[in-house]
Parts: sequence; C-alpha cells; structure tokens
Amino acid sequence: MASLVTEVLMNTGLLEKEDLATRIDKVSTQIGELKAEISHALRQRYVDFIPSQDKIEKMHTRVRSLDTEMQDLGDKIQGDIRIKLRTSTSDVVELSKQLDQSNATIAVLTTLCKAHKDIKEFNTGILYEEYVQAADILHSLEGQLNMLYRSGYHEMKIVQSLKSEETVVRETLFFHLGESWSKTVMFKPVEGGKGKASKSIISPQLVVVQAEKFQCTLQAMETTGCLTNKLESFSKKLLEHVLHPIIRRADVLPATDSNPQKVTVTMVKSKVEQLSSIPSPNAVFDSILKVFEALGPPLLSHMVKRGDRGREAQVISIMSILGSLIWPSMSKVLIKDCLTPSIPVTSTELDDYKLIFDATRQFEEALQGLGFIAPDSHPLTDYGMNVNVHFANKRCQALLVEARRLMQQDLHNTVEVGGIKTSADEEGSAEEKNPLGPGLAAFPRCLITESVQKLLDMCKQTLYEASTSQEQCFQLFFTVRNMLQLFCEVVPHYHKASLSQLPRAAALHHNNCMYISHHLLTLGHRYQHTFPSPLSDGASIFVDLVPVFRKEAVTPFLAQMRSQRDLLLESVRIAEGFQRVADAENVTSANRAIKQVIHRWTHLKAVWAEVLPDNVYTKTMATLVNTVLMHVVEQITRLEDISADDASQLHLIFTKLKDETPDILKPSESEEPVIMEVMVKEWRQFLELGFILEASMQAIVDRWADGKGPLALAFTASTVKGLIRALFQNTDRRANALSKIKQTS
Amino acid sequence: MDEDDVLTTLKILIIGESGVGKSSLLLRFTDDTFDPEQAATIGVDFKVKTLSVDGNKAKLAIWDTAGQERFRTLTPSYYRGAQGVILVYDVSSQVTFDRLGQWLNELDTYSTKADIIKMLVGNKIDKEKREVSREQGLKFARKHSCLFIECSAKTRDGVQCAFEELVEKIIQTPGLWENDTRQRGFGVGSNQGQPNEGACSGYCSLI
Repeated sequence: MASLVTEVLMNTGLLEKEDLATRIDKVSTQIGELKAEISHALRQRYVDFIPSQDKIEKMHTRVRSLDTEMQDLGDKIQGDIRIKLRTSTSDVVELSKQLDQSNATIAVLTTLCKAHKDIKEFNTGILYEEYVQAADILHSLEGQLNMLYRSGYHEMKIVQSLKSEETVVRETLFFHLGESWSKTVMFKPVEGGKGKASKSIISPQLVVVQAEKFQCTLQAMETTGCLTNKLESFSKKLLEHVLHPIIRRADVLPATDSNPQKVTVTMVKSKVEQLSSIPSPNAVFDSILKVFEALGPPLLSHMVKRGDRGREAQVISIMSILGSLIWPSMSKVLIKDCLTPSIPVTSTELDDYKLIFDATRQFEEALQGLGFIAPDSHPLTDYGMNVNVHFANKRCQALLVEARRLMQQDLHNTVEVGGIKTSADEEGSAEEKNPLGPGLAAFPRCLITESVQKLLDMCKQTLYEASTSQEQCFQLFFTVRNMLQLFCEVVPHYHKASLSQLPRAAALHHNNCMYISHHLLTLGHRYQHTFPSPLSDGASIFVDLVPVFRKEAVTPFLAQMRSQRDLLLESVRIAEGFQRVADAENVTSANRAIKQVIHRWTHLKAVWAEVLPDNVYTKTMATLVNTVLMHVVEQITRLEDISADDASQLHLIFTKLKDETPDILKPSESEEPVIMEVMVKEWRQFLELGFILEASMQAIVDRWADGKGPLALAFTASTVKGLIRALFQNTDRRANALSKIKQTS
Repeated sequence: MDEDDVLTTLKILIIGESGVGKSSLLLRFTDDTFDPEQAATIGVDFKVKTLSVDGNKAKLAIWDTAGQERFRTLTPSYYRGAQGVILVYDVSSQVTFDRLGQWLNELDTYSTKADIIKMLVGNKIDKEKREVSREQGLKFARKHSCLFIECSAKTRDGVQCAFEELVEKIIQTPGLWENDTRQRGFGVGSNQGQPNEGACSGYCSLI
C-alpha cells in the first residue's frame, strides 16, 4: 500500500515540478508586461502632467479677467440707472401735486360759488319766511366754510369775507327766528289799574298765537340749534309765572282761553278763601294738565326733526324737549312743595293718602301721554310709593322738633313726682314685713319741670307707637334715643345762663336729669317683647344713657353749689376775720356778715327745699353750712387776742348760727329734726369752739380731760392752747392750765 | 386746787339701749340730781368728776353716749382710749337686757384697749314691775366677765358704788392706766425721734 502511496506521491512531485517551471515562465512574462505598463503609466503621469497644468492656469487667468470686466460693467450700469430713476420719480410727484392743487382750486372755487349762491338763496328765503330752507342753507354754508378753513384757506381774503358774511347771515336768521318766536309766544305783563279783573291777575299772561308757519320757525330754530336755548328761557318763565304759582299757592288758578287766533293762559287769584295755604295735589295736577293741554296745539304739539349730520334724524315734539328741560326741577318742586306737605302726620291719616297717590299716578300717566315725560320717568309715583318712609321721616322730624321745643321751655313750671304713698309705719315694722319695701326703687319725691314730664311721656308714647308698627319701629326707636341725646346737647347750652345763675333752675335741672335717668333704667324693657329682632334681643336699652344723664344732673348743680359757696364765703369775709368784734364798727360788720349768710341760707332753702328730694336737699345745705362754719371756726382759732367783750360777742354769733342752722337744714315738710352731728361734718368742732368762748379756764381744762375729753376730739392741743392764750391774761393759772393741755395718742 | 394730786384721768363710757337711764345715772353721779323728764341725748354728753378710791384720786372723763339708733353713727370715735365702760340696762325692760349682746359686740369692735373694764349696771330697781332678775344679770355679767351692780338713779341706790367699783378695778388692773400714763410720758421722751433724726442727718451729711 505504501508503495502505492509513494508512487502516487512521487508522481505528483514530478508532475508539480514540471508544472512549476511552466508557471514561473508565465509569471516572469507577466511581470515583464506589468513593468512596461507601470513605466508607461508613470511616464504618462509625470511627463504629461505639466502641459495640462499650464493649460488650467491659463484658463484661470482668463476667468479672472472676465470677472473683473463683468463687475465693472455692473457698477457702471447701476450708477447710471439709479440716477435716471430718481429724476423720473420726482417728476411724477411734481405732476401729481400740480394735479391736486388744480383740483383743490377747482373745489374751492366751486365752494365759493356755492357759498355765494347760498347767500343769495338765503336772502330770498328770508324774504319769504322760508326759514327752514334758510336754515338748511346756513347749515351747508357753514359746512363749506368749515371745509375751506380745514383746508387752510383761512388767510384768503374771500374766505374771510365769506366768513363775516356767514356771521351776518346767521345773525339775520336768528333775528328773524327770534322775531317770529316772540310774535307767537308772549308773556304780557299785567296792566295795572284796569279795574278789579286785572288786580286778581298775579303774573304776566302767557299768550301763544296760533300761527301756521310757526312749525317752520321751530324747525329752523332746531336746525340752527337755538331752539333749546329759546325753550330754556321760555321754560324758566313758564315755571316762574305759571307752574310755580300753581304748585305753591292754593289761592291761584290758571284760566285758559283758546280761540283760533291765540291761546291765553292767565293766573287768576281765586276769590274763594282757601282753608290752607298749601294747594291739594289733585288741584295742582289738574291745573298743570289744563295749562299743558291749552298750550298743546299752538306750541307744544309741534314736531321738529332733530339729527346731526350723518345720523338718522328723529322727530320729537316741543313738548318732550320742554319736558326734558323743566321736568327735573319741576318734579322736585312738586315733591317738595306739594307732595311732602300732603304726607300725613298721624298714622290714621295714612290710609287717606291712597287717593292722593292714585291722583299722582294718573297725573304722571297723563304727562307721559302728552309726551312731556318719558314713559319710564315717574319720580312722583316713586315718591308716593315710599309714603311710609316719608311718613316716618316726617313723624320723627316732628317729634324731634316738638322735643326741642319742650327742652327750650323755661325751667319754671313744675310738677311733683316720686315718693311712695304708703302710710308712715312704725319704725322698724315695715322693715320686718319686707326688707325690700315698696319704696326701695322708688324715685324720691321732688319737683321736675312740666316740660320734662311731657318729654318723657312723648318718649313712652313714641316707643309704644314703635312697638305697634313694624315698618317704622327702628326709626321711631332711634328717634327716642335721638330725643334723649338731644336733651343732653340742647338743655345745658340753651339754659346755660339760668343754670349758672338761678339755684332753683339748677336744682330742677338736676331733678329732671335724675328723673329721666331713673326711667331710662327700665324704659327699653317695657316694650322689648313687642319689638322685632334685634331690639327684642336686648338691644332696646337706654341704660347706656343713664350715666350720661347722671353726669348732666350733677355737673351744673355742683357748679351752682360752688358759686353759692363762693357767695357765702364772700359774706363771711365782711366780718374781716372777726377781729375785735366788740368794737362798735366791727360789731356791725360781723353781724352783717352773719345776717347775709343766714339770709342766703334761708333763700336757698326757699328755692331748694321744695324742689330737691329731702335727702339731697339736706346734704346740699349741710355741705354749704359746713363750709361756712369751718371758715368761721378757722378764722376765730387764728385770732391772737380775744377780749371778754369779743368773746361774748362771738358767742352771740355762735348761738345765732347754732339756733338757725338746724331749721335751715330741715326739709320743708319733714317733722323729724335733723341731726346736725351726722349731717354737718364740723358741727362738733363748731360747738366746742362755742363752748370755749364762754367757758372758764377750768372748764376748758376739764373738757380737755387729759386728751380724753370731747375737746380733744375736735381740736389739737396747740389750737386749744392758742385759744386759751387769746382769751385769758397771762397769769400763773393760765400757765398751769396750758401745761395740762398736751397732745396725747 | 386739788388738780395736782390726781393720780390719773380715766376715760369712762356709758352705753346701753335708749331710755335705760344712762344720762340720769351720770347726772346722779356728777351733780346728784334727777330729772324724771330727762330728754334724749343727742350725740354725746360729757362730764368730768374727780373720785377718790382707796386714797387714790382719779379724774373721770365720762362720756354719755346716745342710745338712739339714729345717733349711733357717731359713737365709734368715742370708744377710742376708753378704759372703762358702763353697760346699762333697764331691769323693768327685758328688751334692753336682750340687746346687751349687741352692745358688747360694738364695744369689742371699736374699743382700742383689750383689757377694758366692763361694768354691767341694771338700772331702775325702784320700779315695781321687774322683768330682769338679779340672777339673770349676774349670770350675764359672769359670762362676759363684767362687774355687776343693780342701782336706781332715781333713788340714788348703788350709783356711787357702780362708779367706785369700776374705777377701783381699773386702778387695780396693771398696765391699763399706769401704762397709759407712763407710756405716754416715756413716749414723749423716746418718740422725739432723736436717734432717727441723728441717723438721718448723719446720713445726709455723709452724702
């Protein structure tokens, strides 16, 4: 097998050797061919390249020169054509300007022509009373002139003269229209002294002539814009001479007389005596309608076209223009002078007011029918609808006015109030029965002014009214509060002089305020349950006013007390410190001083005891008495020398004061004596000084009793010693006595 | 003048219901008089009398207060410094006896001396109709540690004795009166404020 393989292998090797030789031959030929080709190619590449490059460079230079040439050419072309274009454009503008100018000139000339024609036509129009035409012409003339002005021709002579011509034309038209108006509508003054009939005419007659051409006049006036002005002045006169007298005066009625030539409205004073000076709304409405109806055919029913250029013209009646001019003020006057006075004052009359309300509505409907007012304008009916509010306003106002009137009444007429009408029980027994007796919260007996009683009654009545009426409840309630607040504002100022000068007035004012504040504590609660919320929830109180009233009660009264105190002390001053009172002159002045003081006390008792509550009276007087006594005591303790005669004189004075004062402090009807020690603070001191003035030295020492006696309660040791030194001569006994007066505790 | 040998001045207060005879008691003691129609006292009455007890002279400053309710607002100031009090009731009126408690209460409230001597006096023993027995009075007095005596201002019975016993007791009570006097004397010396003043001025000058 192996030999076979070797054989095969050897065969192949041989074969291959042969094959290789041939192949190498082939390859070497192929290489030779490739060499030739490469050398050819290389040659081609490097030898033939240079000429082609040269060629391209040449071409490049040519392209460059061409480019520059083209650019030059473009620049040239551009420069040339632009210049040419510019010149041609300005040419065209120039031309069109020229065209415009010539057009404008033509327009101006046309306008001027037209204006001229207008003026010519206008004059003929005026001549034949064709006012409407004239007005239209004037309108167009105005338009043309305006156009000229706008175009800047106002400096042209012709335009200026046309302008002035236009003014002339306008004035002429106005004049003619005015003439025509005043020929038709006239207020003829009443000619005096022509018998009884003329006397009863109160204002100029209004005469309106029935003229056919008046419509034209009106339209022309409207077109020229002077109608409104004219109607305005007419409406003023109409109000003054016709409408206001109708509304305001019950004794004046309009009389109208219509015939085919003219309509006359005359204001005639009625011969029948009128019950009230305020005319009833019904009569006023009738009269006004009568006047408007009479004036209708000749004047008010005419229609005019109204409309600006461009806008659609609308046709309106003179009546409505007049209405728009006078209705606002006329309706106010009607409400103020006619409807407001007719508002009822009491609730019962409120129902009757329906009739007037109906008449008011009919009146406004009639005015709407006449075209006098717009269908949606009804101020009078609106006013009438709120009758409740107006009623309440009027009522509250009336209440406040009445309250103010009461407050301004003199503090003079009085009524007695307060006190309890129980029989005087034995002391203590009433207390046992009911410690909170009936008199616990009662107002003490005293006098108040009648006016305050009335005021308070009015408050209660108003509150009652408030509690029964739902609508006006709040307003009435607050009116009561306002009334009370008004009191605090008005009374102190209005009665300022009497409060400061008259003790009685001050006392009455004190009682008045206290009485009111006493009632204010419970006033709100009494009606609370019938009030609507929030008043029923406790807002209906007046307690907040209580301190205000108490303060108001006290302030003027205290001022009065102060001035009385000053007067009393001035009297005491007459005594000149009670020095050497035994001297003839001094005795009179001291006695005069005390006499004056007692006289003033007696006077004050006369004006106060009856007026003030007993306890207040006693307290007040006790204060004044105390002040005087303190002053007297102080002056005497300051004396350095009191002779025996002085002392007995002073003791007389003391006795007089001591005897008089308890009676002065006693209120008028009281049986019980006043305990001076309790009421008058310095009473004991006063009594002790009285004792010293007539006592022996030993008695004084005994009453001092080592600082354990009553004298020691009233005076200090040094004061007592001073008095002893003043009263007694300097002896050993005096020195001994003085040594016993020592300040203890 | 016997003024100088007086040992001390004693403040005595007479209190009790209206009409029990306080003023009569006082007048019988000081002036040895009696007025059956004695008017009601307004506010306060005052008398001075020197009394000799066991050889000691005492000056009595006697305050006779008003019994009526309406004058009573004044009384508190009278209690100040009182060393003895005579509490009077009417043996012929139970009510006046029943109200004694209230009077004691007022005394406790206003009295400035804790050991004030109280003398309970049953007046009007001359009257035939008696409502308060001696025993009742005695019992009350013991209970409230008071001296006790029955008397009649009308017949003079027991009046002098009532005052004498009260004064004796006051003088016997240490500290009630001498203390009062001595303290006062001492007080004048020491309360001049010397140390205080010195301290103050020293302090001031220091600054």
